[in-house]
Amino acid sequence: MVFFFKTDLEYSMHLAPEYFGPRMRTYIKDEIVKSVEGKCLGREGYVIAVMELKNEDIDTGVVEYDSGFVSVNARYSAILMRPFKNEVVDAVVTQVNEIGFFTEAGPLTIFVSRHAMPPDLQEGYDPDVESWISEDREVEIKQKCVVRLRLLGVTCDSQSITAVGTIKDDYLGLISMGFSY
Amino acid sequence: MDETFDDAPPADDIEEEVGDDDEEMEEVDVLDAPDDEEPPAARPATERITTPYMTKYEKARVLGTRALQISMNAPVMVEVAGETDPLKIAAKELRERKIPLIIRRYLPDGSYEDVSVRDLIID
Repeated sequence: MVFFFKTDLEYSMHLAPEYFGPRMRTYIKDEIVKSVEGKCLGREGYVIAVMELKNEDIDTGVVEYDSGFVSVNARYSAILMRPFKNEVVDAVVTQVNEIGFFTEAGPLTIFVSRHAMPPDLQEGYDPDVESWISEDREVEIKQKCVVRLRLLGVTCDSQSITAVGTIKDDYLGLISMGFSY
Repeated sequence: MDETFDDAPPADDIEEEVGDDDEEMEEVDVLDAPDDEEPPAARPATERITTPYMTKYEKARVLGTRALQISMNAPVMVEVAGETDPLKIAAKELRERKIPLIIRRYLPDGSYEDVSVRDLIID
Protein backbone atom coordinates (compact mmCIF):
# COMPACT_ATOMS: atom_id res chain seq x y z
CA MET A 1 0.00 0.00 0.00
CA VAL A 2 2.82 2.38 0.74
CA PHE A 3 4.65 3.54 -2.34
CA PHE A 4 8.30 2.63 -2.60
CA PHE A 5 10.55 3.58 -5.46
CA LYS A 6 13.94 2.48 -6.61
CA THR A 7 15.67 5.57 -7.95
CA ASP A 8 19.10 6.50 -9.18
CA LEU A 9 20.53 9.36 -7.17
CA GLU A 10 23.70 11.38 -7.08
CA TYR A 11 25.78 12.37 -4.10
CA SER A 12 28.61 14.85 -4.04
CA MET A 13 30.96 15.23 -1.14
CA HIS A 14 34.17 16.93 -0.04
CA LEU A 15 36.82 14.43 0.86
CA ALA A 16 39.49 15.47 3.35
CA PRO A 17 43.10 14.47 2.50
CA GLU A 18 43.35 12.23 5.55
CA TYR A 19 40.98 9.75 3.89
CA PHE A 20 43.10 9.33 0.74
CA GLY A 21 44.76 6.02 0.09
CA PRO A 22 43.75 2.46 -0.73
CA ARG A 23 40.64 2.52 1.46
CA MET A 24 39.28 5.76 0.00
CA ARG A 25 36.43 4.21 -2.01
CA THR A 26 35.28 2.13 0.94
CA TYR A 27 35.24 5.27 3.04
CA ILE A 28 33.23 7.19 0.43
CA LYS A 29 30.68 4.37 0.25
CA ASP A 30 30.33 4.16 4.02
CA GLU A 31 29.97 7.91 4.19
CA ILE A 32 27.19 7.99 1.57
CA VAL A 33 25.24 5.19 3.25
CA LYS A 34 25.67 6.81 6.64
CA SER A 35 24.59 10.27 5.56
CA VAL A 36 21.72 9.31 3.27
CA GLU A 37 19.87 6.36 4.82
CA GLY A 38 16.85 7.39 6.83
CA LYS A 39 17.07 10.99 5.61
CA CYS A 40 14.49 12.88 3.63
CA LEU A 41 15.61 14.17 0.24
CA GLY A 42 13.07 16.94 -0.26
CA ARG A 43 10.44 15.95 -2.80
CA GLU A 44 12.15 12.66 -3.57
CA GLY A 45 11.01 11.13 -0.31
CA TYR A 46 12.66 9.24 2.49
CA VAL A 47 15.64 7.05 1.69
CA ILE A 48 14.90 3.63 3.14
CA ALA A 49 18.06 1.85 2.03
CA VAL A 50 20.94 2.31 -0.40
CA MET A 51 20.67 -0.53 -2.90
CA GLU A 52 23.66 -0.36 -5.16
CA LEU A 53 26.84 1.65 -4.94
CA LYS A 54 29.57 0.37 -7.19
CA ASN A 55 33.22 1.37 -7.21
CA GLU A 56 33.00 2.44 -10.87
CA ASP A 57 30.08 4.76 -10.03
CA ILE A 58 32.40 6.91 -7.93
CA ASP A 59 33.84 9.50 -10.29
CA THR A 60 37.42 10.63 -10.29
CA GLY A 61 37.60 13.50 -7.87
CA VAL A 62 38.73 17.03 -8.59
CA VAL A 63 41.22 18.72 -6.27
CA GLU A 64 39.97 22.07 -5.06
CA TYR A 65 42.34 24.91 -5.60
CA ASP A 66 42.64 26.47 -2.17
CA SER A 67 41.68 23.73 0.27
CA GLY A 68 43.45 20.60 -0.97
CA PHE A 69 40.16 18.76 -0.49
CA VAL A 70 38.76 16.61 -3.25
CA SER A 71 35.19 16.94 -4.47
CA VAL A 72 33.79 13.61 -5.57
CA ASN A 73 30.52 12.73 -7.25
CA ALA A 74 29.03 9.28 -6.87
CA ARG A 75 25.91 7.72 -8.30
CA TYR A 76 23.90 5.18 -6.36
CA SER A 77 20.47 3.63 -6.38
CA ALA A 78 18.23 3.64 -3.35
CA ILE A 79 14.79 2.59 -2.20
CA LEU A 80 12.70 5.64 -1.43
CA MET A 81 9.43 6.01 0.38
CA ARG A 82 7.33 8.80 -1.09
CA PRO A 83 3.82 9.33 0.27
CA PHE A 84 1.09 10.66 -2.02
CA LYS A 85 -2.25 12.35 -1.50
CA ASN A 86 -5.19 9.90 -1.29
CA GLU A 87 -2.87 7.02 -0.50
CA VAL A 88 -4.15 4.62 2.17
CA VAL A 89 -1.59 3.61 4.78
CA ASP A 90 -1.51 1.73 8.06
CA ALA A 91 0.15 3.73 10.80
CA VAL A 92 0.90 3.42 14.50
CA VAL A 93 -0.54 5.99 16.89
CA THR A 94 2.25 7.74 18.75
CA GLN A 95 0.60 10.66 20.52
CA VAL A 96 -2.99 11.47 21.42
CA ASN A 97 -4.34 14.88 22.45
CA GLU A 98 -7.56 16.83 22.40
CA ILE A 99 -7.20 18.10 18.83
CA GLY A 100 -6.52 14.72 17.28
CA PHE A 101 -3.72 12.18 17.21
CA PHE A 102 -0.31 11.68 15.60
CA THR A 103 0.66 8.47 13.84
CA GLU A 104 3.84 7.11 12.36
CA ALA A 105 4.30 5.01 9.24
CA GLY A 106 8.03 4.31 9.11
CA PRO A 107 9.78 7.68 8.97
CA LEU A 108 6.59 9.54 8.06
CA THR A 109 4.53 11.35 10.68
CA ILE A 110 0.83 11.74 9.93
CA PHE A 111 -1.57 13.88 11.90
CA VAL A 112 -5.28 13.02 12.09
CA SER A 113 -7.43 15.92 13.19
CA ARG A 114 -10.62 15.61 15.25
CA HIS A 115 -12.55 16.84 12.21
CA ALA A 116 -11.18 13.98 10.12
CA MET A 117 -12.74 11.37 12.40
CA PRO A 118 -16.17 9.78 12.01
CA PRO A 119 -18.97 11.70 13.82
CA ASP A 120 -19.28 9.18 16.64
CA LEU A 121 -15.63 9.68 17.57
CA GLN A 122 -15.41 13.45 17.22
CA GLU A 123 -16.53 14.33 20.76
CA GLY A 124 -15.04 11.26 22.36
CA TYR A 125 -11.69 12.50 23.71
CA ASP A 126 -11.02 11.23 27.20
CA PRO A 127 -8.16 13.18 28.81
CA ASP A 128 -7.83 10.72 31.73
CA VAL A 129 -6.76 7.79 29.53
CA GLU A 130 -5.52 9.98 26.62
CA SER A 131 -7.62 8.23 24.02
CA TRP A 132 -10.46 8.80 21.57
CA ILE A 133 -13.47 6.64 22.42
CA SER A 134 -16.53 6.27 20.19
CA GLU A 135 -20.06 6.81 21.54
CA ASP A 136 -20.80 3.08 21.65
CA ARG A 137 -17.41 2.55 23.37
CA GLU A 138 -16.47 -0.07 20.78
CA VAL A 139 -13.60 1.89 19.24
CA GLU A 140 -10.82 3.20 21.42
CA ILE A 141 -7.86 4.91 19.76
CA LYS A 142 -4.89 5.30 22.05
CA GLN A 143 -1.12 5.06 21.84
CA LYS A 144 0.30 2.04 19.98
CA CYS A 145 -2.98 1.35 18.18
CA VAL A 146 -2.76 0.67 14.45
CA VAL A 147 -5.12 2.72 12.29
CA ARG A 148 -5.74 2.63 8.57
CA LEU A 149 -5.98 6.14 7.18
CA ARG A 150 -6.11 8.04 3.94
CA LEU A 151 -3.63 10.88 3.33
CA LEU A 152 -5.43 14.18 2.78
CA GLY A 153 -2.36 16.24 2.07
CA VAL A 154 1.39 15.80 1.88
CA THR A 155 3.84 18.65 2.51
CA CYS A 156 7.43 18.31 1.33
CA ASP A 157 10.12 20.33 3.08
CA SER A 158 13.81 20.00 2.40
CA GLN A 159 14.28 18.18 5.70
CA SER A 160 11.08 16.23 6.17
CA ILE A 161 7.73 15.22 4.77
CA THR A 162 4.64 15.70 6.89
CA ALA A 163 1.13 14.58 6.12
CA VAL A 164 -2.42 14.93 7.41
CA GLY A 165 -4.79 12.01 7.20
CA THR A 166 -8.42 11.06 7.72
CA ILE A 167 -10.19 8.04 9.16
CA LYS A 168 -13.66 9.31 8.16
CA ASP A 169 -14.42 6.87 5.34
CA ASP A 170 -15.42 3.27 4.74
CA TYR A 171 -12.86 0.67 5.78
CA LEU A 172 -10.72 3.30 7.52
CA GLY A 173 -10.04 3.54 11.22
CA LEU A 174 -8.83 1.25 13.96
CA ILE A 175 -7.54 -2.10 12.72
CA SER A 176 -5.50 -3.37 15.67
CA MET A 177 -5.19 -2.46 19.32
CA GLY A 178 -1.52 -3.03 19.92
CA PHE A 179 1.71 -2.72 18.07
CA SER A 180 5.27 -2.59 19.25
CA TYR A 181 8.47 -2.43 17.27
CA MET B 1 32.66 31.34 -23.52
CA ASP B 2 35.46 30.54 -25.91
CA GLU B 3 33.11 28.87 -28.28
CA THR B 4 30.80 31.84 -28.80
CA PHE B 5 33.67 34.30 -28.86
CA ASP B 6 35.53 32.32 -31.52
CA ASP B 7 32.66 31.31 -33.73
CA ALA B 8 29.85 33.76 -33.69
CA PRO B 9 31.40 37.09 -34.74
CA PRO B 10 33.56 35.73 -37.59
CA ALA B 11 30.62 33.77 -38.97
CA ASP B 12 28.54 36.93 -39.11
CA ASP B 13 31.39 38.90 -40.61
CA ILE B 14 31.92 36.45 -43.41
CA GLU B 15 28.26 36.31 -44.21
CA GLU B 16 27.99 40.07 -44.41
CA GLU B 17 31.16 40.60 -46.35
CA VAL B 18 30.90 37.79 -48.81
CA GLY B 19 27.16 37.83 -49.13
CA ASP B 20 25.81 35.16 -51.45
CA ASP B 21 29.00 33.19 -51.93
CA ASP B 22 27.94 29.61 -51.24
CA GLU B 23 31.43 28.21 -50.89
CA GLU B 24 32.33 30.59 -48.10
CA MET B 25 29.08 29.81 -46.35
CA GLU B 26 29.80 26.11 -46.54
CA GLU B 27 33.27 26.62 -45.22
CA VAL B 28 31.91 28.49 -42.22
CA ASP B 29 29.49 25.65 -41.54
CA VAL B 30 32.25 23.08 -41.70
CA LEU B 31 34.28 25.07 -39.18
CA ASP B 32 31.28 25.39 -36.88
CA ALA B 33 30.43 21.74 -36.63
CA PRO B 34 33.41 20.22 -34.79
CA ASP B 35 33.44 23.04 -32.23
CA ASP B 36 29.76 22.49 -31.41
CA GLU B 37 30.37 18.81 -30.93
CA GLU B 38 33.08 18.83 -28.30
CA PRO B 39 33.77 21.99 -26.38
CA PRO B 40 34.52 20.49 -22.93
CA ALA B 41 35.71 17.14 -24.22
CA ALA B 42 38.56 15.05 -22.93
CA ARG B 43 41.31 14.28 -25.37
CA PRO B 44 42.65 10.71 -25.24
CA ALA B 45 46.23 10.22 -24.10
CA THR B 46 47.27 8.92 -27.53
CA GLU B 47 46.37 12.21 -29.23
CA ARG B 48 48.25 14.37 -26.75
CA ILE B 49 49.55 17.62 -28.21
CA THR B 50 50.83 19.36 -25.08
CA THR B 51 54.40 19.14 -23.82
CA PRO B 52 55.69 15.99 -22.09
CA TYR B 53 57.55 18.30 -19.67
CA MET B 54 56.04 19.59 -16.47
CA THR B 55 55.86 23.39 -16.72
CA LYS B 56 57.07 25.53 -13.84
CA TYR B 57 53.46 26.58 -13.19
CA GLU B 58 52.32 22.98 -12.95
CA LYS B 59 55.24 22.19 -10.68
CA ALA B 60 54.28 25.05 -8.37
CA ARG B 61 50.64 24.05 -8.25
CA VAL B 62 51.36 20.34 -7.79
CA LEU B 63 53.92 20.93 -5.02
CA GLY B 64 51.65 23.44 -3.30
CA THR B 65 48.54 21.26 -3.46
CA ARG B 66 50.39 18.13 -2.42
CA ALA B 67 52.14 19.88 0.48
CA LEU B 68 48.77 21.23 1.62
CA GLN B 69 47.29 17.73 1.53
CA ILE B 70 50.27 16.24 3.37
CA SER B 71 49.90 18.94 5.99
CA MET B 72 46.29 17.75 6.42
CA ASN B 73 47.26 14.14 7.12
CA ALA B 74 47.13 12.70 3.60
CA PRO B 75 48.98 9.36 3.42
CA VAL B 76 52.55 9.96 2.24
CA MET B 77 53.78 7.92 -0.74
CA VAL B 78 57.51 7.96 0.14
CA GLU B 79 59.77 7.26 3.11
CA VAL B 80 59.67 10.44 5.16
CA ALA B 81 62.97 9.60 6.94
CA GLY B 82 62.35 12.02 9.76
CA GLU B 83 61.35 14.87 7.44
CA THR B 84 58.51 16.96 8.86
CA ASP B 85 58.17 19.87 6.42
CA PRO B 86 55.19 19.03 4.15
CA LEU B 87 56.68 20.99 1.24
CA LYS B 88 59.93 19.02 1.49
CA ILE B 89 58.02 15.74 1.65
CA ALA B 90 56.03 16.83 -1.42
CA ALA B 91 59.28 17.69 -3.21
CA LYS B 92 60.66 14.26 -2.37
CA GLU B 93 57.49 12.63 -3.69
CA LEU B 94 57.85 14.61 -6.89
CA ARG B 95 61.50 13.62 -7.24
CA GLU B 96 60.57 9.95 -6.85
CA ARG B 97 57.54 10.43 -9.19
CA LYS B 98 55.11 9.18 -6.58
CA ILE B 99 52.64 12.08 -6.51
CA PRO B 100 49.17 10.56 -7.09
CA LEU B 101 47.72 13.55 -8.94
CA ILE B 102 46.57 14.10 -12.50
CA ILE B 103 46.99 17.47 -14.20
CA ARG B 104 44.08 18.62 -16.35
CA ARG B 105 45.49 20.86 -19.08
CA TYR B 106 42.80 22.99 -20.66
CA LEU B 107 43.28 24.05 -24.27
CA PRO B 108 41.91 27.32 -25.69
CA ASP B 109 38.96 25.54 -27.35
CA GLY B 110 37.74 24.22 -23.99
CA SER B 111 38.89 20.66 -24.47
CA TYR B 112 41.43 19.24 -22.08
CA GLU B 113 44.11 16.61 -21.71
CA ASP B 114 44.65 14.67 -18.51
CA VAL B 115 48.32 13.99 -17.76
CA SER B 116 49.47 12.01 -14.76
CA VAL B 117 52.23 13.71 -12.78
CA ARG B 118 54.01 10.35 -12.83
CA ASP B 119 54.31 10.50 -16.65
CA LEU B 120 55.72 14.02 -16.90
CA ILE B 121 59.39 14.83 -17.32
CA ILE B 122 60.63 17.01 -14.49
CA ASP B 123 63.80 19.11 -14.81
